Amino acid sequence: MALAGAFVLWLWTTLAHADPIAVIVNTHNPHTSLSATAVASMYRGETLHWPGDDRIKLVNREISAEERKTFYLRVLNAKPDQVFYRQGTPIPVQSVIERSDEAVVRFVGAIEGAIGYVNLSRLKDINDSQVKVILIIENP
Amino acid sequence: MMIQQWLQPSLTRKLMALFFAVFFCAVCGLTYFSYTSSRNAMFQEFKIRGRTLAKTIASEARTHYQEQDMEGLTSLFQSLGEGEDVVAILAYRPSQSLWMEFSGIQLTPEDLTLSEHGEAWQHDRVLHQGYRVSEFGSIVTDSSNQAKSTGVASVRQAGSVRIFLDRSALERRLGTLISETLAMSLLTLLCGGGLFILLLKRSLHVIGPLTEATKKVAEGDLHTTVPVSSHDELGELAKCFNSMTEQLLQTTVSKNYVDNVIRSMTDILIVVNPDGTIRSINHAALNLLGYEEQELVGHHAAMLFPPHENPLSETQYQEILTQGSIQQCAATYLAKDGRSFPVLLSAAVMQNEEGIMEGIACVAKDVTELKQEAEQLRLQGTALESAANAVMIMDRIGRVTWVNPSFTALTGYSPEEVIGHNIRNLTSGRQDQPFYQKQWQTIMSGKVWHGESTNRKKDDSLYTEEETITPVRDRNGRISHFVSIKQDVTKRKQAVETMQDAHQKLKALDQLRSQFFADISHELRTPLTVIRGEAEVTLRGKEKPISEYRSTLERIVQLSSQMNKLVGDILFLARSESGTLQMELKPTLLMPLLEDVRQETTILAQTRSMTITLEGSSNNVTVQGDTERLKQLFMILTDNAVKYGRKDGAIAIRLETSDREAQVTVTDDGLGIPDSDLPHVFKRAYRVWRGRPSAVGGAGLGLPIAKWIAEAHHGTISIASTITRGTTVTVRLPLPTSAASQSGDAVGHTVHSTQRN
Repeated sequence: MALAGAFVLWLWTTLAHADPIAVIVNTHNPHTSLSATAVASMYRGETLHWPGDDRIKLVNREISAEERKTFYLRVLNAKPDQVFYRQGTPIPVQSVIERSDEAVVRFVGAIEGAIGYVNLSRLKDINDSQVKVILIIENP
Repeated sequence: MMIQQWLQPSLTRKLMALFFAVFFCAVCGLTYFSYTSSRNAMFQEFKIRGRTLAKTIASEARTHYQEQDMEGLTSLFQSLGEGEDVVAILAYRPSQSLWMEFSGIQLTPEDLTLSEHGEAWQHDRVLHQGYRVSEFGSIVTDSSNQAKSTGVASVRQAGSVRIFLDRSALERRLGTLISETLAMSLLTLLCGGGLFILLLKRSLHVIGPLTEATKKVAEGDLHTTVPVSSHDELGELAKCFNSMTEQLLQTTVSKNYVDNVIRSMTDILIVVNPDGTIRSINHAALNLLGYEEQELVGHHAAMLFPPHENPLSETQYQEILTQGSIQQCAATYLAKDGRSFPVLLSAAVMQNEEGIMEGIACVAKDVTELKQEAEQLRLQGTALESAANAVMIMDRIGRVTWVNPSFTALTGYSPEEVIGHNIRNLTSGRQDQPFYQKQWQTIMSGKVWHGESTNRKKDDSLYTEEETITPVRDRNGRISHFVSIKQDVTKRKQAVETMQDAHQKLKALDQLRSQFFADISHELRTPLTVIRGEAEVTLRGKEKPISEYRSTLERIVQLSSQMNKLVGDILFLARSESGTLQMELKPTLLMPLLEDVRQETTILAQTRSMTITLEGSSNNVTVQGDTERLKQLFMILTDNAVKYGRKDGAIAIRLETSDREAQVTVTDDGLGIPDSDLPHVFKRAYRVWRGRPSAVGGAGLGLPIAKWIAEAHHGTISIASTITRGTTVTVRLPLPTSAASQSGDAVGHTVHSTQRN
């Protein structure tokens, strides 16, 4: 009984205190903050270029990742396996798939037009100076 | 079945079906060809694109591999992966571990595992998420100096790239291609078919009317034309058809017409093949012979004829062949039930255009009825010819057209003399004009005239005929002829007249008889009444003197004898009339007989003081006679003379002879008889001056008896009288010839009296 109560308590704490998601860009990116809508339009294939005609390079996590689930649910209001198409075309919106937060951070830090999302606490652990957070999505 | 039925009747439909089959196959083939080629092209293009893309990515990515330039690689992927069907681009390191994954869909680790080792590859696969993709792969070669130094042969692998191209897009395009191709094919089919039908109908539309017209022509209606609306072969055909029907109409008899003629023929028509079998037979023949058509067609024609009378036998057959036809030969047909029909047979050989015999057409006419009618007519004609009555046939204006032999016998005119002449020339003119007018009116109004007329024979003698004239009407009900049947009634008429005369005479006789009986009964009753009166008067009262009785009895005796005489006379007459009176004729001397008469008369005449004289030239006058009857005859005469003679007068009896006869006259000088009574004095019970006193007496029977006796002796009696001067009665008796007297002397003979008046 005590064991079951402890498990439920752990589960609750785990779910209730999920870490917020941080949307990150290269430090050279002129933007300092973006709205969730702007980020969503990028991932939905509605916005393709940064101001200054630089292509937006989307970085995604694999479908099974918690971050992707949270990001898709909170920002895109979609399921993690949803396929988006470039606006007005049957061309699917493609993104670079990285299989860890570190890889995402490394990729975004290496490539200027990239945008990605990572666990905020993990980001703090990594502490890469080549990326900056432009949006934080709270995960209640 | 349905298709067959649908196909059968129309050429247009057949053509359409054929066209559609061919057209459909062609379109299908073309469609299939174009589809497969398009698909192949699409596949080819797809593959080329995939390969090109893979190669391009591999070559472009070389520098990025060398420099480990992820941004350049990402940009490259981004720019090259913008094709709609690029699902994912994967870059691998030489160790075949994933370097970069650039995709829009989720790829599982299995999908990401690289197992190919060639320089380039391609294959279709299905991803774990269900995506159907084509994978194109290519290795990325290292173009660094290190590689150059090792030589061309050893190519160092810098890594690999894989591209997943979405096949669903291709398949969608293929589906679109299919539907488009099908739609185009369908459109082509519809347009082409419609156009074809239009053209076919336009060019074949003459076939419909042509078919209809041909059917009509086949049925015999040659007044059919087909509209000519085009100038192609079909138009030409329609023109030819029209001219053909015109020519058929002009030059040949319509088949329908011939059929109708044959159908309406009441005569037997049989067409026989050259080998003698029956080819066809018409309806009338079947009806008459009682066969069904299939029972005859194909069988030998000999079965229709009696065995020995076959008109199509070998010899006849040759005759038909040589002459080409036979006309009106009498033959006999044998019906199915064995009856035989007399027929008039005509046969003709049918030849085709080359002159080869095709068959023999036999037309036969059933003459059973004709024969019967002819027989009937012959019988009737014979009956008329042999009729006892004169038969004469006249036309409606009275011209004689036929007479029989009895007519000639009746009138004396031969048929040649009367036929063609008007009947009025034969009339005698004995009848008046209204008679003939009435006769003519009667028969012209259709009634039978019956009557008698007197006509003149050829030899100008008249005869009476009884004639019946019957008008004969033709089919329209108009009087066309008169049949007159005459009977000579001249003899009958004469007989009737004779009978009428006899009847008159009998009637007069009957009257006389009645009168006679009335007179006789009176004559008989009168003396009876007197006798009874005398007797009653005498018996009544007291006794009377004997003399009175005596005188009464004497009167009674006198009256009785008077009655006796009367009854005797009546009996005599009755016997004479009934023929039972017999007389014995023998030679008798007249003078002694007359002397006796004179003496007896003298006694009678004493009371009246008359003198009686007898004069005779010869004493030996002999006649054949019955003495008693002759005496009675002369006594009657003298008695009459005494009765009606003048008192104190004279009576003379005179006998004279001539060559052949003896003549006895009794003459008195008495009252005489009036001229008006003279012819009647020989009638029975005729009394002159009926008012004369009864004392004179007599029943009027004397002279009739005298006359009878005289005639029984083949003699005559006549009376001549002058009133107040007297009367002379003359009796003439034949003298026997010498031969007769000689034989008569020996044998007497009996004369049976015949009844006379």
